[in-house]
Order: sequence, then C-alpha cells, then structure tokens
Amino acid sequence: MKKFLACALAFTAILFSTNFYSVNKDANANIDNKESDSCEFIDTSKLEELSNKYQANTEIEEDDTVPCAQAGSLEYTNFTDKEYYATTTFNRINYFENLSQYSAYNSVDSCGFVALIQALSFYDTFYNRYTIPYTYNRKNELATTENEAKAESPGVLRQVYDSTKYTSYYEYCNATQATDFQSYLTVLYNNKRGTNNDGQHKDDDGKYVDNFEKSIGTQNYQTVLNELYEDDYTVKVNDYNKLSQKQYLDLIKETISSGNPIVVQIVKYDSAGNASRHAVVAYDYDASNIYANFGWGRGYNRSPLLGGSAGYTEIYRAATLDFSKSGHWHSDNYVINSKSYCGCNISDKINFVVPEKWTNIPPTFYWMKDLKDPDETFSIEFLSFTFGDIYCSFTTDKNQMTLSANDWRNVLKSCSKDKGCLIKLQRISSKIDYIYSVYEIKRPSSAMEHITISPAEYGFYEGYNETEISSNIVQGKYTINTKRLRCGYIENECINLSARKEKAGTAYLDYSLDNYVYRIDVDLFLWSENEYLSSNDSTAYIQYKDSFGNWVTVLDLLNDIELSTDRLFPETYTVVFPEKTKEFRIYCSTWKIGDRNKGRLCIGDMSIYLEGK
Amino acid sequence: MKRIISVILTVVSVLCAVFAFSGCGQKFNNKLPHKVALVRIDYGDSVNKKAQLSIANETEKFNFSGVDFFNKSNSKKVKKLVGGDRLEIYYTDENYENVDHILVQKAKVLTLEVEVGEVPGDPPNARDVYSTSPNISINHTKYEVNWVIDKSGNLIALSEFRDSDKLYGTFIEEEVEEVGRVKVKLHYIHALYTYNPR
Repeated sequence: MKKFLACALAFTAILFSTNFYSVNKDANANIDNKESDSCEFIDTSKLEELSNKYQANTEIEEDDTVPCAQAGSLEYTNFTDKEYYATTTFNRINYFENLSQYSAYNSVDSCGFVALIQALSFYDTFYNRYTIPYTYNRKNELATTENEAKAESPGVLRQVYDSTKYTSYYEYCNATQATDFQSYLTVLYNNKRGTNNDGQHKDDDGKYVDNFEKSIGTQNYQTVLNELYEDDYTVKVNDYNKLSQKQYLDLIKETISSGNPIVVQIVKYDSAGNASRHAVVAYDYDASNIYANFGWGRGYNRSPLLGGSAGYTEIYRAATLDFSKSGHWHSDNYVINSKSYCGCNISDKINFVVPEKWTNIPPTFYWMKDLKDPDETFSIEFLSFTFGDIYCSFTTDKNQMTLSANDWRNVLKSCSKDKGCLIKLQRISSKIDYIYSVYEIKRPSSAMEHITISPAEYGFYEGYNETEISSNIVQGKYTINTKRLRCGYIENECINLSARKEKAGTAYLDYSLDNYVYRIDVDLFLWSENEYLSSNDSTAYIQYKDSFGNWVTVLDLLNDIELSTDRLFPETYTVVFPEKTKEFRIYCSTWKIGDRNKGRLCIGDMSIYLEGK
Repeated sequence: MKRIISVILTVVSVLCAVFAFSGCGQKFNNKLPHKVALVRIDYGDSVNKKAQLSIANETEKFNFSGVDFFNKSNSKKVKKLVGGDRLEIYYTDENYENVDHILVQKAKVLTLEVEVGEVPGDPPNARDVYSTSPNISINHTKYEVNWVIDKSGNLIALSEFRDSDKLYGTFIEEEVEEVGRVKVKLHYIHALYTYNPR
C-alpha cells in the first residue's frame, strides 16, 4: 500500500504540475440534509453506526493521529479569511442518474460485479481517487461546462463481452483484465476461489456449468476487495442479510441520508415460483420510492428499487462499503476545460496572492474553506522535499496566511537550493480530515528592490499640522506621495504622530506610490514612557489599502507588539502585506484631551519593498 | 522363581502376538509393488440417493470386498473410508494379482458452514459452503460435490440445506494451495458430510 501511495503522489505531481494530494485518515463528515447543492459530503462514519444498529460488527481501529504543529515562529505572521468558495455542484444523485457510459457492462448476468464497480466508481469520484486503480478510470475529458461534465458520470471502461472473439468468458476476462476493471475483479475473485480455469463441473441438477464464476454476491465483496487492495483494512464491507423488509428499507434510507450509496440484492418470482435475482445500487429516495441504478443503461439509471417496470418485489441482501480508513483523497474524475475537479466540490489547491518568487518577500497564499464546517481548522507546514524536516508550522482557522519575513528567511535558508521545498496543508476538522495537499516551492534566487527613507528625507517641518498636508518624497526613480495629519519631523530625530490633544484625536501618515508595495521595515517607538496610548482607549495601526479600496490592519501597534519607550533603541518591525498594495498608512486615534502633544508615536528609518519600474 | 519368570514371559509373548495380529505394531512390507488410488464418492444412484464409494486412479477402478484397510501412519485398521482417502495397494508380486495389504492415507476434515449465497445472476437455489476458520477458502466444485452424505449414507442435495447449517468436508492436505494476493489456504473438498466422518 505504501509503494502504491508513493507512486500515486509522483503521478499526481506530474499531472497537476505543482499541486498534488494525499490520503486522509479519519473522515467523519456530518450530513444534515440528504443532498447538498454546493459541497458533497459522505459520512463514512455513519456506515459503522448503521452496522452496529443492524448487525454485529467488529471494532474498527480509529486513527486519531493529528500532526502537531511545531512551535514555529509566529512573529507577525498574518492569518486572514479570504472568500473562496465551492464553484461546482457535483453530487451523488446526479452522479448515479448519469452513470451509463462509464458503467461496467452486464454481459453475462454479472450484475454483482457491475453494482460493486458502480459503488467503487462513486467513491473514486467523491471520496478517494485511489479507490479504483488509475489505469481503469474512464471519464469525459471534453466537457467545457459543468453540465456537460455531469451528463456522463466518470467511472470505468464500458465493454461488452464479444462471444465471437473469445471461446469463453474465462478467456475474455483473462485477456482483457489489463484494461477492463470488471474483467480484472472477476479474475481476482476466481483466483481466490480456485476457479480461474476453463473447466466445467456438474451442478446439483446434473448440468455442466463453467467453473469460472461470472457474478458475485455481496457476501464475497470483502474477499475480492481485499484482493484488490492487497490488505484487509482499506475497505470494510458491511454485508446485511436476514433482515426484515422494513429493516432493509430503513437501512437503505439511513445509508442514503448519510451520503452513501448501498448495493442491494433484489428478487422477483415468476408464476412458477422461479426466482430471478439482481444487484443494484440505491442512491436516493423520496416519499414514494427508493431509487437505484440498475446497471442496464440510461433508461434504468433512476428506477424504483421495488415495483416499477423491472418488477422486483423483495430485498434479500444489502452491503455498504466503508472507506473511512482510507480517508478522503481528492479525485480528478470530473474534468471541465481540461481542469480537474473532485466530486466533493472542495479544492485543496493552494493559490498565491503574493507569489513565492522573491527571497525578501514572503508569499501570501490561501485555500478553499469548507463552508459547511465552521469548526474547520488548518495546519500549514513548510518542509523538505522528502517530507523529513519541518522548517516551520502553523495552525489557524483562517484560510489565508502571509508568512513573516523571519519565517520566510528560515524556510529559504533550510530548503534545498536545487529542489526547493514544500508547503503542506492539512485540514483538521470535526467533519472531514485530510492529511495534506502539497505545493512545491522552487527556491527563489532574486530579491525585491527596496528604498529606504530616513526621517530627515521626508521634508516635514517641525510641528503637528492641524489640517491634512500632502507632499512628495523622491527617492531615486520612485516618488512617494504622503498625506499627513498631526505629523512632523521632531527635534531632528524622527517623524512623530501625535493624536492626543484637545481638538485632535487622530493622527496619520499615509504613503501612496505608483508601484506595488509588498513589505516595509520600519523603526517604531514611543517618544516617552508617558504618552498615554493604551489599548483600552486608543488605537494605533499599520494598515494597507486592499484591492477593494478598504483599509485593512496588518499590525496593531498597541496589541500585537509592545513599543519601545527608549528613543535610543528603537525596534525594527517588518510588516508584510497580505497582498500587493499602492497605499499604506500609520494611523492613530485616541482621546481629544490635554493641552500638550501626547500620544507621540515615532517613525524612524523605513525600508519600502516595491516592484520596480 | 524361575517358574514365575517363565510364566510372565509366556504371557507377554502371547500378548505381543495378539497385538501384532490386531495391528498394534503390525509391520507391513512396503517395498512390495503397489498402486495408488483415490476414494471418491459416486453420486450416480439418483434413484435410491445413496452414496457409493468409488476407488480408482487414472487408469483403473478397484473393487475390494472383505479386505481390511490399515492406517498408513499407525497401521491400525481403518473402519471406514471417506471421500478423499488415498489408498496404497500393495501386491505380492509384479503381476499385481494378489493384494498383500492396503494402507490408507486418511483425508482430513474441515468444519464448514452453509451460506445461502443466492448470487444475483446465478441459477436459483445456489448454495455455497464456507470454512468457519478465517484465511481458509473452499472449492467444492472441482470434484463436483453437490450432495451431502448423512450417517445412513443417504445423499442430500446441497440446495436442501439452510443458511448456517454445519457440514464437514474432507480434503487432502497435499492439495491445499495458497492463493490470492492476500494469501489464503484454498482447500479442495472431496466429499461433504452432515457429521464428522472421522
């Protein structure tokens, strides 16, 4: 299984260039409603509960391993929310309603296998991309809209057994098992039973029948799936029999309500009392009926389980597939305009607001939040390519972060010069756990340009202006326009803001440029110990103007840090903006009180990192 | 004293002779020419539905009446043959005309359980048997075992049995194969019984 996962990771890295995904462990999605318009949730934990309710069950080991974030540096690392929601509406119902072209074909009364493969295809599309080995996946790769993608649900090769080309179904399955998933499973199953041969035996009526078994009952699903996964823990088959009809119906509805499909074996009798049996996948219900895909083609994709044109009258067996041990691993089965989507409608792709291409500008990146899970939290790690060394790690309930300059520096210092390193994102949630999605960072080789302004270069007079003043600072090829209030160059030392005075209450220094700014390093301190700027009654921020024109705080000078009161030893603060901006400010507000200039916030040297002209 | 010892020795000799005659410590000459045959169940008597034993190898059938069979491992007399028993038939000479002795390599017995599988797509009344032990797989179709033998030797169709009915299947240890990617031991069943025939 480890070898399989390693190969799968490598393959996905190629497929998605810099994004690839990994397996989670303990999925516990909770479904309030039967279907969702936005995010498709599958409560695999519900299957165990149902198993306990309707039949005895063995214990399933619970994996409660949650990677712990190391005590990384949190210095000025910003976490914010970003609007990034599900954009597709794939769900279980439209999946089975449209599962025809990529459903296994029932050529020889092999409905037991067809139903099993349909259920596996569902989990492969909505839950874990490795449910079906990749070589057997088939899907519509030409869709340009979501509706086109939904019109043919992804699954496996649909191939009819041609008895003119092969002498027997045994020969056909063995010849086509490399490409036909039904053939592959059938051979695996017969190998296990010692019946993978071309021989025949007499049945109890004395008739000769092929040794090679063409169909399978749910009681043997565990056997064949253990063979498929080469272990006995990837999937747990809950096989139900000897229930009453009412119990079967309740079980089916509860399973469907949890977001899971269920394989149901049904029977009807002819006038002579001869039984005819079939296996289907039930996936929806309403007040009148339970609906199933009968595996007979599009006209029977949404047929009443009992009654209806097919005329089955009784349920005699049912089974669910519990993949909660293998966990959620995003699928790529739905394709729209050559871009892949998971049926769960949640993307774990890491997107960049500030790219990771400068040594001195930390990246800002974000990921999709699961709107139905308000308790969702995330773990982010920067680590080596071999997943060995963790350079730094964080935990947040936001879906966007900007690394601090120090942490970015540490990451770059640690990571490989040739290969770079990885960002690993993990969802830690009460509903769905993911182990991680990973983004590959190539080690940048260039730094962003910066200019440095000393207080004397502002050109401000010594005093606190009572009305706003606008002026320009020219530094080389760059011009910075400033707007200031209650701000001046004081005692040839520093630029001061003084908000605390009668008729004042506000002080600011606003910087705007034609170029985008990503970061500033600024010396900040208080003029003395008695400036009366308290977080209880005052505010002091470094803010930037976002793409919507709103002022956004990146550093709260009274709560995030403790400003020095020793003018001889100012602190340098590195502020990284979560997105590029052309305008930022230092802003202060407090009581309009006193006859002296107090609340003096001091600005020393400032380096501004900006995209060059 | 000498008289007492003499009596004891005589008694011991007689006893040894008796035990030797009854098989305890009986020695057979296994260097004689021999043939190997398998005990099979003949399900052909569909009228009386009685199990008949058939002893045969690939080239000939054997008919033994009034002949004793001895356990190969301990030389004790074998009272009853079951399907899957392997016979070594030793002859007094190379013409294979007179049987000197017959040794039995006894088939082993597995406890099985009937499962009413009713595989969708299969003919009706299909039954399957499974081992009650994990990691053991059963194949009862190779030797076409569709009937079960009760204590009276009657044949009962496997389809007559209900879910979870216990059965006993005989198998040959040397035929057990390890199959599958998740390894299990596949046992080929030679005969099914409603009771443990051993």
